[in-house]
This record gives sequence, C-alpha cells and structure tokens, in this order.
Amino acid sequence: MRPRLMFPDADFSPAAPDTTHHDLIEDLELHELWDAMARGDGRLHLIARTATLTPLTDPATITHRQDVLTDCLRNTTTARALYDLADQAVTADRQITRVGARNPEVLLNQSLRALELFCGHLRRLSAFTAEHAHAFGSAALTRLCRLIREQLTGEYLGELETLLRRIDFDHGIIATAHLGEGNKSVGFRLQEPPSGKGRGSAAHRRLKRSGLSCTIRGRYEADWRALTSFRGRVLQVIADAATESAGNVRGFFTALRDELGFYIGCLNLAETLTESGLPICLPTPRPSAERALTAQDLHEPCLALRRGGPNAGNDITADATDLIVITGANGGGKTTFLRSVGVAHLMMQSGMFVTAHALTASVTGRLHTHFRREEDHTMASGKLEEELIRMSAVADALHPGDLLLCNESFTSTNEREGSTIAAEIVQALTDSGVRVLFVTHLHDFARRMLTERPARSLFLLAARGENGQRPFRLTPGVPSPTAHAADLYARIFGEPLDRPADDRPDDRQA
Amino acid sequence: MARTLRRQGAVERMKHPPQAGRWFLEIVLEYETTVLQLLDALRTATAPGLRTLHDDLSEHTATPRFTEPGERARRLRDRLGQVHYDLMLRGDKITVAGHDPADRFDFAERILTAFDRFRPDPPPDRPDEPPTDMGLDTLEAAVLDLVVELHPRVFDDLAAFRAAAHDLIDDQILQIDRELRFYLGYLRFLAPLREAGLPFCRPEVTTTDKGLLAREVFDLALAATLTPAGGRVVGNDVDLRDGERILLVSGPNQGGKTTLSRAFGQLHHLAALGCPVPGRQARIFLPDRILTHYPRTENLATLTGELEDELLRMRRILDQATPDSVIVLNEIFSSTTGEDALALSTAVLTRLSRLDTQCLWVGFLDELSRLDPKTVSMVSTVTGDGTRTYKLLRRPADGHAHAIAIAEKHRLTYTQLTARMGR
Repeated sequence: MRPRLMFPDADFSPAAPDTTHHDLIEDLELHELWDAMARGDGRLHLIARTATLTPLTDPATITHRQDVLTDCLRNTTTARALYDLADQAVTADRQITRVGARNPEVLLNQSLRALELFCGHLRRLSAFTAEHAHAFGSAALTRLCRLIREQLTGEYLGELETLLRRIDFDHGIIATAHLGEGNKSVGFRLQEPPSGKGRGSAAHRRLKRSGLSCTIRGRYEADWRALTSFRGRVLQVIADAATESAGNVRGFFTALRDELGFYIGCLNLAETLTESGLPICLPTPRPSAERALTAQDLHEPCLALRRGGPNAGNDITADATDLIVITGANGGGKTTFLRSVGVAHLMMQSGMFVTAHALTASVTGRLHTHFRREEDHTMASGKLEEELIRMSAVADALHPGDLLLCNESFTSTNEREGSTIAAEIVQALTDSGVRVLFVTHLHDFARRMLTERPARSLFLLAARGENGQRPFRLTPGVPSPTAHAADLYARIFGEPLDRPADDRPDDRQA
Repeated sequence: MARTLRRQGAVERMKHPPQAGRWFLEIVLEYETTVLQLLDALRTATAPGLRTLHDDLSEHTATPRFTEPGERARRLRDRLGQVHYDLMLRGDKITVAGHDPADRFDFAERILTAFDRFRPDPPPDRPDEPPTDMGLDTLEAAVLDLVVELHPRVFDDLAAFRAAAHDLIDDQILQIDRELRFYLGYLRFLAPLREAGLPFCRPEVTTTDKGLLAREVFDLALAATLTPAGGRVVGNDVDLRDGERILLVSGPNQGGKTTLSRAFGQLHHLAALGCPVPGRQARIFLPDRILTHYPRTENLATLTGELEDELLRMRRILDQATPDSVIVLNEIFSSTTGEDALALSTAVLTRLSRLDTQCLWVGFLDELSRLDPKTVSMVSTVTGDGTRTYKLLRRPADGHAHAIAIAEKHRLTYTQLTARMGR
C-alpha cells in the first residue's frame, strides 16, 4: 500500500532542511518559489523544498510526475479533497500520539486508539476513491485507486476492527518465556488473551492446574511497582506490534499526504503564476548526454513572484553546448537569465511545469551556483580567498553531468588575475563534463573562451537598447568589451561617467 | 577485561544464587573469549615483546586449567537456554507452568499480519530491545524461584559449578591488560585523526647523529581539538641539516609559529616514548631532555618582575641543557625594549651555539637569523591578499603570491581541478 505518486517504484519523504544547499537557495531565491507553493503551510514548504532540491535525472520518472500533475491540474477540486482526507487522518493521529509513551501498557493503549481512528479514515478513503477514480487518467493515480479498491474492502476493514477489540487483557495475560542474561525471564510471547468465557486454551488450562504461583503481598509500594514493570515487559511485544502497525498505517497516510502535497504545491504555484501573467508549460526532459537546451519565452519565476509581475522572457537555443558565457550591460537581465535557466532545470527535474512557452532541456546532475557575494561575511579571510574557498567547496560536490551557474565570479581581484583563475576553472570543469553558465564582466576571460574553445560554447550579450533603455533580452553575440556601466551611471547620476581612454586592442568590438 | 572484572565484583555481591550462578557463567565465558581474542590478535604481531607474549599465551590456553571452566560453562548455559515455561498474570497473582511446544503464542504476529499490507518496503527498523539490567527485582526473583522448582536439576548443577571454580583470572594476564592499555589508549586517541587523513609515522630515531628531518609535522593537541570540529590541520616540513642547530621562526602573527614550536617539542617527546609521531616522515635525534620556555600568564605570587623571571627561567634551562638536549623557546624577552631584547637574545644564542644544543626559537627579531652559521630561518607565510596559510617555509623573507598561486592553494588550477573531477 504505497502511493507511488512521486516515483514509480519508491517512496518520497520530505527531508529536514540542512545547510548543504544554502548558496543555491539564496542565489536562486528559491524561497519565493516554495512560499508560493506552500501558502504558509510548513509541511508543503518542506515537500516543495525536498522535491526541488533532489532533482530527478531520469526523464521517465519526470514524465511519471508530469502525468500526475496533469491529472491534478484537470481535477483540482478532487485532488485537493483527496489531500485533505489524508491530511485529516495524519492530523487526528498526531493529537493522540504526539507525546510518545514509554510505559508499554500506555503505549499499547495509545496505539490501539490510533489504529481505531485510522480504521475510520481508511473507510472514508475507500469510499472517496470509489466515487472519483474515473476522473484520473495517469498511470500512478489509476494504480492508487485500484489498490485502495482491492486492498481496503469492507470485509477487510471489519476484520481489523474485530481484532482490535480482542486486544484486551482484563481477564489476564497468558505468555511463554525463557531464561535470558542473569536468568531473567525474557522472550515473552503471548496468546490471544482469555475472554473470561469458555474453556480457554490448553496452556490456559495447564496454568490453572499448576500449583506454582506467587502473589504480590502488597505490603510495599516497591512490590506493586515491580508488578507493573513486569506486566509492561510481558506486554511489550504486543505494544510493539500495535505500535508498529499504527506506524505503518500512519506511514501510508503520511506518504499519501506528502506525495499529494507536492502536487497541491504545484496547483498553488500554477494559480499564482497564471494570475501574475506568466506562461507555464510542461517541459520536455531529454537525456543528459544530448546537452539539449532550447526555450521559448523562458521566464524567471522567483523574481516575478517577488515583484508580483512578469519580467521579459528570453528565447534560447543552446543545444550541444557545454559553456554559455553571458556578458554585457549591467541591468541587462544577465543574472535574471542565469537564474531562469537554473530554476527551470530544478522545476523540470522535480516533475513540475516551467515558466516558459516551451522548454526542451537535458536533465543535469546537481545544480551548483557560485555567485559573487555582495558583502564579505567572513572578516577573517579576504574576498578572493573567500570566493576560492567557495569554489573549492563547489568542486568537491561537482560531478560530470552537473550544471554550474557562475555569476560575476572572481571579480574581487584585478581583471587579469580574475580572468586567469576563471579560465583555468572553466576549462577544467567543461573538459570534465560539467556544463557551465557564466555571467561575467571579465573581458579577458570571455575573449579567451571565444578564441580557445569556440566549439560547444555559446556567447550571449545583454544588449543595450535604444536610448539606453534595456529590453531585458539576450542575443547571441561576442563578448562585449565593457560592461556599459557608463550609461547606468549616467542614468542614475544624471551625468556622464568620465572614463579614461581604454587602450585595449579589442575595444573596437564595442 | 575491565568489564569482566567489574562484573566479577557485582556477582560476588549478589544474594540470589540462581541469578549469580548465571552471571558467573557469563564471566567465565567472557574471560575465555577475551584471552583467546588476544591470542588471535597476536598471531600476526612481529614485535619481539608481543611474539613472546603470543607463545606464552598459546601454551597457557592449551592447559586444562584454562579450557575446562569454559567447556563446563558452555554446557550449562546451553541447558539453561532450553528452559521454557508458561506464565499467567492475573491481578496480583503470577502462575508458572511447563511449556508445550505445540501451543501457539502468536498473538503479536497476528496483529502484525492483519496490518501487513501497510508495511513499507523496505520494512522499518524495529527498535532494539532495551538492554536488560543486571539485577532482578523481588518479583523477577520470585518468578525465577518458581522456574527453579520447575527445573531443579540444572540449577543444582549450576550451583555446584560455581562452588568448584576458584582463581579464574590469571594474575599475569591482568598485568598484560594494564600494559597494553598504554599503547591501545594512544592508538585510540590517534584513530579519529588518522581517519581524518592526518599522517602519522614511526620515526627513525638516533642517539648519535644530530639533526632533524620532519615532513608534514603538526601539533597533535591542536589537531585533536580542530579535527572533530571539521577544521583543517596544516603540516609543516622542519629540517636541521648538517651543522644546523637552531631554527629561528619568525613572520606574521597568528601564522602558526607557536603551533610549530609545540609540534617540534611533541615530536621529540613522543618519539622518545616509542610512539608514532604526527607527520609523514621523521628522523629524530633522541634528546636527553626537552626544555621549554613559553610566556607565562602573569603570576602575582612572584614578586620578581617579568623580565627577571624570564631570565631566571632561561638560566635554569641553560644550566640543565647538555649538547644532547632539545630546547624550545617561545617569544622570550618580549617584555623589554627591542634593543635590550636583541642584546639578551644574542647572548643566549651565543651560549646555545657554543653548547651545540638543538633548539627551536620563536621570535620577532629578524637580525637573530643572520648572527650565527648554525641558525636557519623559517617564516610563517601569507598569500598575496594577506590571508594566513599556517605554512612555514625555510626562507629569509616573504614574497607576494600571484593569483595562480592562490588558485593552486585551493587546488583550483586546471591540472588540479581536472584531477579532482576525475576522482
């Protein structure tokens, strides 16, 4: 009884946040995405986070999720109602089992109550899916509805309720045991408890005839405590069985809630994005080796969510490239573009839609970012040192097939040194099978990439629009020699920037 | 062994014979296993001391005095293990009766089976049973008494076995246990550091040729605090070549100078104990003594001034030192003016040089390194942008590093990075 809505053959469980992806999350502003998916629900936030931070690399699994998502987008009310059903079961159970008991008898009672409660929820789930199964077309949801119909029959649920009523030790406990360490009684196993009516089992009759017995004299409190603790040890195996069973049913409802929770997050996000005027589409995932990347009107959703409106989209054709170098005017949308590619990969590889009219992209391994830090948080080490430490940490985590987004890396030293370092790193990584997108002002570096590795590279330019207006559009082009800081300065300060004559030979490219 | 001894003490205090008898079996068997494991572990030993121990133990463990108690204990334990019984708890009464294997006691399984279809795949880990405490409470003891009535023979035999066994644990084996703890304790201390990739080596030691060759040595105490916190430990190469006796360490503060001085002292001390030393490779002259001079936090009890105190301590060191000693000096004479410090230091240096003692001297006076042919200078280094590296190098002055050198330090050059990616 596993939902299998996220993987065709495995469970999905939200992982507690750790600091591993701190830079990636900050650099891509992923919290905006998760907030829009969660709408204030902490669990949905965690689910969205886990799904986006553990990207799928198998196009078939991505399609598996896309199919479920299509079902949910077509039947939003039913999908949300099914999620609510699972969520109610989990919430009601938490009321009972929030404080875990240690005393086995208390634990047993707690688990029995939880199991009784779950039986009611299982009946409701069974009835709901019987009514709504026909609405779903995806393999995963069809399978889940069939499973519930076959496994949670009225007869089976009736048997469960009868068994739960039999777990009652008012008329005594009959157990068998052997001698363990220190000749302590251990290895207790129990019979179905006597009911107080009828002849009882063979062991029951034998025990009734046996003359070997002792009675708690009750003179000392310690004796009663010893009896309680002994009863607890004998009942432990039943308490464990009930607790494990309750845990397994809880696991089923939790899995159902969590896996549907991802799609509920997607529904929330789709509504918000559509209201904001952003396009959404299901992308076409391609195998990693193809190095595919083609998009029409690709948008960056996180910035749009923060601003509450769309920014300009980009078209990109970058199939069969390992390196994309983006240069050009400040405020020309370079960083936004870089993020849009990163977020699109994460969304696609979590099985979600992407914010574009169309996207066909190869799956990447993990996504890594190396963005210039605005402030130096580490007073102890210099800025270049800090950048290199971070790059080295990224290198530790990098594997062939991964995607690395660099934003203004290595600008904390002079251009020549920065370019040398950047060129060394990018050459080594792309030669090792890592795809790199690099937004840079390092002109020496960009020129070097253009001359030394023109094949499988794409150079994009944030172009200067008419009258200094920026269209937020990137066009293929050779690296521009300057960052066009002058017109930005001119706009902000209302006066031209005095720039010393640039004597570099490639200035004529401007 | 420590546990066996602890348990032996506990059993002697137990007042319930059926219980104490069972623990006695465990002690007998645990002792036997411990000694046999030691013998087994010694099979591959090459050190002469351990070889002899192996041969002696091998002989001892073949004698009936060693083998018989174990065999009898095993037989008794097996018989006790076959004792099964049924219990009924109702109200304040507990009844015990014999067990019939034909009866089914599967209520827990029935519950699990009923809910089996919700079991995740793979199934969840079942919690380990909590460890039983050694004692029995009054009720458990009462139940055991009922079981004894049900199976009297095996408990009679158990009592007889315990009464017959004396002098179980051999005194010489106790002695071996104590001595091995020194070596094992040191190795256990090193284990997490080794796991973190820090190098340790068996030093080559000499009492005839002065000099020092040490590769990637580090401060063991610092490593022990840094490593659990994930910190990086920097190793340094330290040499005293032909005729060189005094290492003068200078350079920027917080650059690892004091750490190096500690590593230098530890190297000599640990080598003299016969221990593996922190470092990749080491050739060490075994000193007759190691004398150190580190700045003291101000001591109000002594009425003498700081400089005077320093000079007194220095005097004592020079009095004790022989040509075969090793001296570690750290920031001496820093309480006085530079001019005075240079004069005092020069005087000490001249004496050290005349004594021909090996010495590591952390100081701030560059001039010292040029005063005597027996001195060699090491400096703590910084990168081009002023970052500390904790690397100390044999050279007179510091240069500024180039970008590629910085990249190199972070293993980010083309060659380094391609190698890392190909891992």
